Amino acid sequence: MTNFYGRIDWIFLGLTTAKAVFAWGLTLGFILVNIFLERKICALIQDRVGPNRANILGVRLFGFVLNFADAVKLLFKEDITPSFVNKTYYLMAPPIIMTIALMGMSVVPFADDLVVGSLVIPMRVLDLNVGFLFILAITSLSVYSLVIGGFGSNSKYPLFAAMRSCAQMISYEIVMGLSLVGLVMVYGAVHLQRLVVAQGEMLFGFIPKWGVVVQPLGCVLFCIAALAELNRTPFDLPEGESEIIGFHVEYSSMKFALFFMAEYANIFVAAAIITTLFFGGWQLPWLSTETIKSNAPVVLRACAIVALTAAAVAAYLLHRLYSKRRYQWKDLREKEGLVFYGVLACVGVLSIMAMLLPGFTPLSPIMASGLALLLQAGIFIVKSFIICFIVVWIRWTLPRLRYDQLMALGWKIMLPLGIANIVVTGIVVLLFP
Amino acid sequence: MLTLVELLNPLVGGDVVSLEETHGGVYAAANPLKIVGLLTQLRDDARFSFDMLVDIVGVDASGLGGVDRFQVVYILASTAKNFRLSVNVRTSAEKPEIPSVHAVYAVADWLEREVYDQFGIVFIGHPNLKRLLNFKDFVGHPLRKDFPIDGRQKVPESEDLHDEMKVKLERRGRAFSSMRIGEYGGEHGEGEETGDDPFIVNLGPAHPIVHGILRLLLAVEGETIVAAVPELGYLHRGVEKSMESGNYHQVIPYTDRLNYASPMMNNIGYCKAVEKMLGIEISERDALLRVILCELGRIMDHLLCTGPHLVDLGALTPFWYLFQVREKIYDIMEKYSGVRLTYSCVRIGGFPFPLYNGFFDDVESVLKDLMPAIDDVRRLVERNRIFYDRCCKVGAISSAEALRHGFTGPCLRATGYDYDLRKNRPYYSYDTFDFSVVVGTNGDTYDRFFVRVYEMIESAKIIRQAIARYKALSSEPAALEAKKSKGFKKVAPPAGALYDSSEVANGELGYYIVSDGSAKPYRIKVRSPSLCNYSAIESMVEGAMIADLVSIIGSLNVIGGEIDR
Repeated sequence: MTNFYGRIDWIFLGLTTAKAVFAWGLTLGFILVNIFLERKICALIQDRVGPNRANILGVRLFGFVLNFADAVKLLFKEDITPSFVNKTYYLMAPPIIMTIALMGMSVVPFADDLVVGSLVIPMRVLDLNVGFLFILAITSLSVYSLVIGGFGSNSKYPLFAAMRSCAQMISYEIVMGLSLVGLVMVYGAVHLQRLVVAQGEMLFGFIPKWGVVVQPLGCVLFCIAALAELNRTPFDLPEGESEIIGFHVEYSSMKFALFFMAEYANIFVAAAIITTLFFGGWQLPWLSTETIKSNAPVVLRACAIVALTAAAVAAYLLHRLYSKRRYQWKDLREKEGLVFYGVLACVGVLSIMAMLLPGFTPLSPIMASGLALLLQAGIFIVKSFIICFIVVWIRWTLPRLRYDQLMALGWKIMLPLGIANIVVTGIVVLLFP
Repeated sequence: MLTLVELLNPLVGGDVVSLEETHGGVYAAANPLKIVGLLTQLRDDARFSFDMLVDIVGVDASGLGGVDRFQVVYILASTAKNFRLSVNVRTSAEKPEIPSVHAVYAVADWLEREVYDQFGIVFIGHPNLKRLLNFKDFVGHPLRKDFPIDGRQKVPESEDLHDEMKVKLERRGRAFSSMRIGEYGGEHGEGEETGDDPFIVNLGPAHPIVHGILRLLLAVEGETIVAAVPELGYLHRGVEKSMESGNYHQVIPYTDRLNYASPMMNNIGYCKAVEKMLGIEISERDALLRVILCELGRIMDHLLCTGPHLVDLGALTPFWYLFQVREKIYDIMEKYSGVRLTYSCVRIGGFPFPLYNGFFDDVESVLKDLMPAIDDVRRLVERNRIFYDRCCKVGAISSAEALRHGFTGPCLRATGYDYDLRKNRPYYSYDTFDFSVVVGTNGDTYDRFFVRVYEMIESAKIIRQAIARYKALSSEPAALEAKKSKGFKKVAPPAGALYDSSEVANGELGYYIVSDGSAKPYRIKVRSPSLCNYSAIESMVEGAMIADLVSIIGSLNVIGGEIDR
């Protein structure tokens, strides 16, 4: 808060606030995106249509608008607090899990440091040296919410769920920590920004030195452990809706919704962390920040071409979709296509302008930095989105494990593998420094 | 090879009082006091080897004449020798007592409880003679003829089942303590809590895995089930009593509501029994149509079992692949009968309507969709490690144990025991169709699941053959036959009793019909396959985990409407 002279550093404060708003806005926005993905991908996989009715003035966004209807419904639903619950614990649980879900994003760098003149702005909310240790510490707190909620509900089935989630979190927390030790050995850093910078290097001169390339086993172990921490299928035992109904049986209305919002926020946070640790974070493969800045006009033009092509393809797909539609709505939804075509036309016009306007003169340093920032933040979001997609895909493909099988997988298979990974990595790092 | 009557003749005069053969079945009357010895002999004697007790039927014979008021009929099956025998014992109204045969056949435990519940016949030596279908404080025995059907009774608080649980836990050397939570604010209920007593938890009556309404009281240790006490009757509607109030045709809609997953098979099974009693042969065309509808029903039922079973295991996607096919079969049935769920469109002697145009094309297109759906599901689960671990060796039961519990249908065949009424006691010329009986090896949920999956493929084979035969029949106008069956109004079978069964999706569905010669059925007992398949649940779930229970109940395909009737 204060600078070297003891005065309040308004620039620092303003920038941090802006970054916090961005990071949390991104997390909250991804709650909607993840719910939308869950519905639409599940419909796609299950050979169904999925949500397609809810609309605002005819705009349905392929069912995305249903999220807003959901929010309204959950807010206006009667909020029942059963008479038998332990009120303190019962009311504590949902806010805790939501807070923790939002805290995870605070250390994740979403772009390279922005250099404006002599000012270096780190593109992360908190610049912590402990890096992912902070994330491990924070995410393991979320089990408290489940345990408190399950126990405070004073009901037998939530108690089962609390028990399950407790055991599950403890087991997979260890694997999660172990799977990252190899990463520290290879890159020699726990600080997330340094990890991402290190992943920008090349292996043998042409393979990006991403975490997944140098630590494939660690990556797999971490992803499985993350899935278990997220309580997603095949590890959704605390929810286990066909067995013990879940830890949130006694919750209703927005308290119930908070659990689910936290679940979807956690998916994004986990995806962001996996991206940062193993998939190069904000790194564009073969394009370092310096390269982007020095070749800004070319990069901008390439981006414009990509955007134009994407817009054209999207317009063609939309046209095909609308031309073979089976139902006649006879209301505003008929005009929905115009909105999409309008947006795509704007994208097209902007890309053409971007291609033509700057000529071949070099961009100013601030604009070049801005371009790098936008590109890197964009690629970070795209990578996270893909991982969210995979997480959702897994849910609609696999059955659920049984409690003892879950424990066996964690302690008998993944823990030894994690230790073996450390040993092998250690030997390799010693032999080929 | 001696016939059953010839084999039984030496026994007449001893334990067996009389012997007769009617409607193609063997009916014996026996001395009630010697029933345990007789059934033990019939089971253990290698000449008979009656290894399965199919059903125990109580009859209030006060309207039929005779000295003693109550009849109890033991329907036995010898799966090895392919014999069927009904052993009839009578007991007086003043002292309705019969020795219990639960030690001979395990399934008799529940069947005797049902007879006790409905008729008040006491089975001496039964370990737990409580009501099975009616609630604990019910007054009277509803299937007695003098029971006032317009009387109303209040349903009190549901039974806590603690007495049964206490006995079970004591047998295992465990103490019982029920921690009451909820409105009691964490106070302890009965018993002293020592800290390592099993945790008592109710599963059901309304729980996502109990398809219908069932209740199990579980004593768990962590997640491992120490003891389980099932309670039935939440869906008991007195179907058998209602059946006595109408004429024979008016019974058909009641049969729809037994196993609502495949109502057509229940209709056909009932009509087949009444036709047998009347001595009617239905036309070949109708028989083929019944085969087609039965097998469609079997596919429908198996789809309803396998899909939700996977949902119970957490795999939500395969369910949709299967249900899309099921939806199409529903469409066909709706087009044919006008109803989506309770068709009631079989009549005694035939069918009420002719087939609609394009029926066979619709069936053909469903069968075409069925194979890819099954293949998709198989690809998703057959080699899926999680599915394999969740199902293999879970709820396993041996063939011998399954027979003692009266298992039939896919649940029996999953144990590796080849017994299918379509092959062993063929009706509607099932024996002339080319299909194979699917059997499993271990009798676990994995086998039960895949027996059902492969049975659907076999059913599709049968339907294709039946359609080809139907089309090859000389084109007698279908409407004419329908008219014939419509004119068939007054049904009054000759006085007597008959047990007839057919292979439905869950196993052997039987109807024991007693006629007094009038147009109203005197007594109809439904032999429900689900009830017998479910009777082994206690031994199957003990030592398993709660998640296994989910898988076991899903694979047994217990249908509440059929169990509770």
